Amino acid sequence: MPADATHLWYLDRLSAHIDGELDAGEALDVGAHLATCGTCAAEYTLLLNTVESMRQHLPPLRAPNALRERVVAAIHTPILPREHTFRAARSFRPWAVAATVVAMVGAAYGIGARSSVSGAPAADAVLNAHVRSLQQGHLTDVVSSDQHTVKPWFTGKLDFSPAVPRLESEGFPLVGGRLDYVANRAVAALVYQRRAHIINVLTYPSESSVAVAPHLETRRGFQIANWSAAGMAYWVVSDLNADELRTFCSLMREAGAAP
Amino acid sequence: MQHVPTHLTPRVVPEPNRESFEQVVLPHLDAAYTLARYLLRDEQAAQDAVQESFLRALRHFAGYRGENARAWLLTIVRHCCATARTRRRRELTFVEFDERQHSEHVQSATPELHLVRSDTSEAFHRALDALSAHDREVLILREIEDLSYEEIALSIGAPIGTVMSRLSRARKRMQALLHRESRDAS
Repeated sequence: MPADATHLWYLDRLSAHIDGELDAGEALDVGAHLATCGTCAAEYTLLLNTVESMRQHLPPLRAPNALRERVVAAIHTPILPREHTFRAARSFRPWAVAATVVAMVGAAYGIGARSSVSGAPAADAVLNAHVRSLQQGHLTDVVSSDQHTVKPWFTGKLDFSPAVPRLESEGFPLVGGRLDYVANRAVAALVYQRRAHIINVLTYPSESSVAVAPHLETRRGFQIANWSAAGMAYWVVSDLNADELRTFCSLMREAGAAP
Repeated sequence: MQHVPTHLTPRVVPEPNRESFEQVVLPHLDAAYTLARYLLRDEQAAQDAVQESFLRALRHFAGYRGENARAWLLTIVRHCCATARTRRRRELTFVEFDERQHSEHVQSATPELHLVRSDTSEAFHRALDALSAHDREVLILREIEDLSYEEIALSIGAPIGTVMSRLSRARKRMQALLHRESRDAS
């Protein structure tokens, strides 16, 4: 490779010359140089071959149809104001009153009250249900991404009808549902997914009509959230990160408030 | 232009014109997917990033001034991919061991695309992976997305001169890597 400044000036411009991105004066200059300098002309040919073979072996891709459908659906879903998410996230934060919340949870949930006032055994029972569900073949009894399939499936199996919101446009596709038992009571388990993370939502009528603000905790590496609203108790458990699980919970809460 | 400040999203989200969004932005879905797929090298992560990009683009469509829609969208895709990469790194660092999740990461670290490629194509992907993130990005935008230097400059928020020198360097590096591959093979 020629080392003097003139050649370097030309060599630096070969790439842009290939793309026709040099200004007219420089393009003429480089063209003239290539016609007379064998070394630079050889470099140019080599680079041109590289570019052409890259374009051949690194092709543009076509978006899968499933993605196209997801995107089109997402475009036509009403936009959630971001502020909403932030406010919900903030309401998780008052750890100072966490003890009060836990006590209220214990009072509001049959399972909590039955086992302990701290609510911890209830969280353990929920976590066990989650771990159990991840074992092969135990995740769902009804497999469907359609809430109109999942919701009726519970009819006749439970004495209540859970809200089954559709959140796939927010990146949480519904996987299905199953019947689960937590602390001696039958609960509806809704299964959602975020990437490879499974989210279990356990829900049942709460024994108290007192609404309980969301509470999020980490246990054995899983995030567990719970709250109650409109006479229903909700437990959400997943190995998803806390931020995304908060987003999921606020979406669930909004959907639950307006079924 | 190069920043999409989500934290500055106004409280009241103006209702975007979805039909015009669909006509102007949706035709660039393939381009968006191509960029995400090449940048993230993971099918699921790429699809998630594309969906997130379209939602973000829709939210910011009111601020779109009719400039190059493809370059505008690809800027957003590029940001979403950067966020996805950061998130993935964070998860890898902090999350306790979980077999399902970690096996997924192992898979995504292994470029599974390679399985269906010819040996030659495989060499090109390997070389592309060996580039620095900056070099790889301009190369993808130029050779695969076929953007002009001006559009690339817009997308990465750098002057055209930087695009020119970065692309020149990236191509020479690819050339050297491919040359080494073929020499090692023979």
